[in-house]
Order: sequence, then structure tokens, then C-alpha cells
Amino acid sequence: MKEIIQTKSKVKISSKKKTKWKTELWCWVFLLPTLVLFAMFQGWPIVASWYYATLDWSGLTPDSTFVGMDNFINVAKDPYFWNAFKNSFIFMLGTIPFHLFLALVLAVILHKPGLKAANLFRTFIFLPVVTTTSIVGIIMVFIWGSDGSINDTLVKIGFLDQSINWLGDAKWSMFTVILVSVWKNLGVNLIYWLAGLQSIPQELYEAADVDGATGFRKFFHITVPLLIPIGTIILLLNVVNSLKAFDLIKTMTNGGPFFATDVVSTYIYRYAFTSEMGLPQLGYASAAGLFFAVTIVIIAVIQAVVTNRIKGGRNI
Amino acid sequence: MKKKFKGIGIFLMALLILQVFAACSNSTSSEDDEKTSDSKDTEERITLRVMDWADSEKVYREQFIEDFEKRHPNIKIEYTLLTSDQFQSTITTAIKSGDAPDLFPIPPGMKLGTAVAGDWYQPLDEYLDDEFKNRFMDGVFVEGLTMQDGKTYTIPAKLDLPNTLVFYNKQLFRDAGLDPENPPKTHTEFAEAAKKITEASDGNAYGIIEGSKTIVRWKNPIVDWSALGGSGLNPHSPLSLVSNEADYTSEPVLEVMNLFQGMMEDGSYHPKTLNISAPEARALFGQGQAGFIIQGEWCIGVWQNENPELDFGVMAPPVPDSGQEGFLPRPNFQPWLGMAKTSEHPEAAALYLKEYYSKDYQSVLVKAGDRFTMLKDVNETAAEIPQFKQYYDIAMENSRLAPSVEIRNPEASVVFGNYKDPQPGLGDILQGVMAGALEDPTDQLEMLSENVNTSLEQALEAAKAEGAEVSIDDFKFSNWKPNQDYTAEDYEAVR
Repeated sequence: MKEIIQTKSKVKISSKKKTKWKTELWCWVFLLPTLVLFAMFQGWPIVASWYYATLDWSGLTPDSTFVGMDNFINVAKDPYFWNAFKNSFIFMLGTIPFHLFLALVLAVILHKPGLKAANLFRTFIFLPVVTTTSIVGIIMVFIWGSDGSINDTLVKIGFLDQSINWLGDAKWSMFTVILVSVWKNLGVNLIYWLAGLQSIPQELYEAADVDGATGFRKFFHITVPLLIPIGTIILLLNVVNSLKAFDLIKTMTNGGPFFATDVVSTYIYRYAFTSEMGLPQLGYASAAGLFFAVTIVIIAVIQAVVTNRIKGGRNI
Repeated sequence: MKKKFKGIGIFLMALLILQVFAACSNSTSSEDDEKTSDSKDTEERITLRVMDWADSEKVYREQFIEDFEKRHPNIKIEYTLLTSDQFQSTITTAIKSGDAPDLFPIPPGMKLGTAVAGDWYQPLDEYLDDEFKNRFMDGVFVEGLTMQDGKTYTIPAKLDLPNTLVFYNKQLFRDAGLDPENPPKTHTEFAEAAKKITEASDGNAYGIIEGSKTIVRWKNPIVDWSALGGSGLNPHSPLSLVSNEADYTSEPVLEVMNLFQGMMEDGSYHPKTLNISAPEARALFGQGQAGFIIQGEWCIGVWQNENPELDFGVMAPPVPDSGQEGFLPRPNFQPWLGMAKTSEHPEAAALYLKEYYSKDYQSVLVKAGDRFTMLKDVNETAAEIPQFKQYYDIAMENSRLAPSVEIRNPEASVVFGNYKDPQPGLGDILQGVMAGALEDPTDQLEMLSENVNTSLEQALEAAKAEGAEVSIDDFKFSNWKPNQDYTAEDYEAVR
């Protein structure tokens, strides 16, 4: 009897293993197209850019010289790279608070049941997201120009004595680009938050109502804690997107005036594709891109370690 | 109700699936049709692929291609117009994958020697006879620029003239009490005229406009206008022809910078200047929003078409108040269109070149005010627009042919292939001054001079390591005189 039970359990285990193996196989089969596409369009370019970064190469000619780490050293020595590096982070820090908090506030308002014309407002806020960024950039040049409608309005209502050159003045250009970027991308963050809000069970709010909780307490004790996981993802997406911002800056200011809005993407583009005399420097541009990526990874690791230590300390 | 919707859903799904299959069958049948017609024509019809970035010529080129295909029904032209940035990345990939267009220009910044070394082009001599070459002015087919080792590889696009002459709005001149027939001649007169126009226009127009986002539109006036003051700067070399060094802190350079800075500070520049690119500035000038713009001859055709009511004149750049010490540096012909080494239709490509560089088509371009051609006598006979003719006369009178390092020593192309253009460049620095980001550009200009000297030294070393026989002396022209064209005899004398 025991033997029979043992044999049965063995058969069960082996069939379980088979099923597990089959499931895993099918997972890989379904993943395969994505993996192949990733290898072709993401993986290979990353590997290739590591290789290019070690070359003195224009990208136009067949001849290239292996220079080892020289490009990385030159990038690290260039003050204009560090200016672009700094600007990338200023841009990120300028946009993310709006994308996180303003979008959340708007989402909470628009999520309120029974709000009239909620869909209309959502559409208006989402409209810039589906507009091509480069077109937005070109149009914004005219709107934010020194004789554009923004200046015109601010002067007319008495907010300004004289117009400001929002994009041509080095003091204001980064602020303006950040503001337009926030307007352009607010809608997509709003949708993320709305999706998060819709996933919160209504019963929790009903229970809180029974307990006599105010709207304020419901927000901070139910909504916020339950939104933290999706908030982390929104934060991550925004960090990535803002650090690789290119098209809006390229069309609005081209990195100027005098590098005031030059971010790492425009810095890389300048070296990779343009040169007034001589050839472009694709090898150097690749090194700048990788240097930036590696630096971000290092910062992220340090931040993770510090956060863990702080958490650990609190636990103690 | 739910069932009803389910039914409609299934019906729609079936319809979609049917449509997909129908579309597939349609596309198959149309492909079959194409194949049949292709197989009929395969023997006679060939496709010639041409790629460049000549956007100002687009309308005329499309007509040229249409006419060409009518004249040669066995040749289909597949023309791709890109921006110069797009072109650089596209052509590299195309060449690497063995799929280069039959005819394509050399990318900006690249010298012929580099392209030939990369097996990009094939010699044209076999397909283009002497009659063809005789159509062109002297200096078009020159060793080092368009020829290498005695073989012709490329043909320039146009006759290059300085592109920093000044266009002015005659109506705004009159409104400001200025004489349109007597435009300003010195820096001070120029600045005063711009200021008067701004004041008289009461916010409807400004003294001058530029496209600040197009950095080269800051660099070119500094190079050219400072040459009038004796800086020796020129488009062919990073070194000054006067000091034989990278010298961007000389008095003439600073004078031009001060002129522009002063005009910005007194409000003469159109407020949009800092936010726009060169074509946008050109359009605003065309609308009568500025008294002056510093530009090239290609604008004339555009204004003629888009702003026929614009009453404008052309004038020479103003000279320093202390007097003229030099001339505008006139560039030599630049290599442009070549035939891919991998072209399978060299005869058809040569035919295209012969007709493209025919008097008929080049006359169309000159007549339209698009460019000055390199064909003999065509500029004189075909130019109709008065300002276009005037531009030619003023440019020739006020410029002198600059010496070219590659004509002197064709191996110098290896130096340029290794030259790393330092940033920020001259144009960036002036943009910084105009935007108020740099109060005093002297430090930046000194740094630029140092960086250019270092970059050139490194490029020379790299070129020597690659086996090129070059030296810094190739960049020094001891017999150059600022008031004379640099001729073939001058090159011989220093070789």
C-alpha cells in the first residue's frame, strides 16, 4: 500500500515537474519575440556603443583608431559635458515634482464621482501628450517669444513692466523649457495616477466613511499608501524620460543660449552629427552617453545603499 | 441586449478578418501586376537613385527630374531630399550596407581625400568628356578639392561667394529718413542706421534680425567681417592668414563682436533674434520686420517668390571705422556631387550629371535667384533679378579668393579628417555674448585660440602617423596678400 502511495506521489511530482517545465517553456516562447527585438534594437546598440566609445571615429569613414579610455577621460575633462550633466539633472528635478504631485492632485479631482465635464478636462490635459513634441517645441518658440502671447498677456495684466526673453535669456530659458515640458507630459502622468486611483477598492472609502474619516484623512491614510507602488513606477518612468529629454530642447532652444539649456542628449547630438570644420566625433559622443549612463547607475546604487542604511538604522 | 452586442461584435470581427484577407489578396494581386509590368520593363527601365540636402532647389529639381524622365523613359529617378544631419547618418549606413545611392554629395566637413580613401566614389573621367569639363569655370576641377591623383571624383554645387553681404529694406530706410541709395559703409554708420530704423518703426520693425539658433550665422559674419578689418580669418583653415596662428582675440574680431553686442544692447536687434533659426529670420525680414539681415544670395529667390512686394537692396558689409584692412575671403569651389563606387548604372548617372550641369538647367537656378552657377557665362546671361546681379557684383568686388590648404597639399585632407573641432566655437561664443550669458568674451576667445592650436597640432601628428606628408607650413601662406586673389601661380611659388 505504501509503495503504491509512494509511486503515485512520484508520478504526481514528475507530472508536476513536467507541467512546470512546459509552463516555463511556453513563457520563454512567448517572451522570445520581445527578447529578439530587444537584442536587435536595444541590446546590440548598447554593446556597439561600448565598442564605439573606445574608438577615435567620426562615424562617416571606414578607418577608426582604438583609443581605449581616452574618450571617457576627455569627456570627464570637458567642463561643457559637466554643464550638460548638471542641466540634465536640473531639468529632471524641475519637471518631476510637477509630474508627480500636480498630476496626482488633478487626478484626485478628476476622479471624484459626479464631477461635471471630467472627461472633457481629462481630454484637454491629455491632448498635448499626443501632439508631436518637436511641433510643440516650434510652436512654443513663438508663444514664449519676446513678442509672443505669454509676454503680451503678462504685460497687459500688469504682471510685467516689460517683456522677458523667456528662451533667449540664459536666466529664464531652462525655466521655460521645464514649464513647457511639464505642460506637455502632465496628461500621461494624470492617466497613470487615474489608473492607480481606480484600482483602490471603493469599500475602503466606504468603511472610512462609516468610521467618520474626513476627506483629508482618507486621502493620506488610504489613497496615498495604496498609490505608493504605482507612484514609484511613475517616478522611475519620469526620471528616465526627463534624463533623456531631447526633442523639446532641440526645437525650443537647441541647447542655448550659450549652453544654458544644453543637456547630455543635445551635447551627444552635437558631437555625433555636427562639426563646423573637420568631421563629427561619434566615438566621443558614444563615450559621453555611456559616461552619463554609468554615472546615473552609480548615483542610483549609492542612493539605494544610503536608503537601506537609513531604513536599517530606523529598524534598530 | 448583451447577446445583441455579442452578435454585432462577432459580425464586426468576421468583417475585419475578411477585410484583412481581402487586403492581402489585393496587395498580392497588385504585387503580381507590378511584377508583370516590371518583368516587361526590366530590360529597358533602370532606377537611378540620387540623394542630397539641396532643399532650396526642391521645386526646380522636381521639374528637372520630371523632364529628365520624359526625355529618357528608360530611366526612373528616385530622388531623396534630406537635411544635412539626416544625410550624414543615412549615407554612412547606406554605404556600409552596399546600398549607396548612385549619386550623392560629400557630407559637410568631409574632404575628398577621406571619401576616396573610404571607397565612396568612382572616378568620373571615363563617363564625362572634355566638352563637359569645358563648360565650367577655371578652378572647378582642381587636385585636392574635386580631383585626386589626377582623377575627377566630384563636381561642386555652385559658385561659392561670401554669404555675409547685407540685405536692407528700402522702405524702412525711407521711413527712418535714411537714403536707400546710400547705405552705411562703416561700423558706426551701420549701428546708427539700425538704431534709427528701430526708433522710427515704433515696435513694428527693428534695425536688424538674425537666426541665432543657426550658429553658423553668427560665425560667418565674424570670420568675414573681421577679415575686412585685417584678421586674416578665412573658411578654409582654422589659422589666421595674417598671424599664421589660431588668433580669435585680434582687434578686428573684437571690433565686430563689439559692434553686434552694442547693437543688441541698444535694442536694434529684433527681439525674436535669439529664439529663431536662419530661415525664420529670413522670413521675418521678408515680411518687413527688420531693416538689415546678413545673408547669402539664396535668400533673393525666396523673397522674390514669397514676398514680391519687398523693396530691398544689397550692400557690402560695413568696414571698421578705422578703415578697411582686408577683403572678404572668397571660398574655393567645394567638392559636392559624386558617383558611388558601387553604382550599377554609371552611364545613366553620367547622363544625369551632364543634364543637371547643362546651361538649360543651371540657367533656371540662376534665373530663379537660387544660386550662382559654375558654368561659364551663365551668371551674366541668365540672372534677371536686379538684386541677384547686384549681389554678384558686390561680392566679387569686395572679396578675394582665399588660399586653400588642400589645393596646396592634397594630403592635408588627412589632417582635416583627424581635426576635432573645439567647442564652444566662434559662433557659440558670439551667441553667448548676444544672449547676455557672456559679458566679456575675451577669456572664451583665448581658450578657443589655444584649443584650435592644440587640435591642429594633434591632427597633424595623427595625419603624419597615418603616413601623410604634411606639416604646419602647409597652413602658412607667406605670399598671400589680403588685396589679391590667391592664384595657381601663388600655389606653385610656395610648393
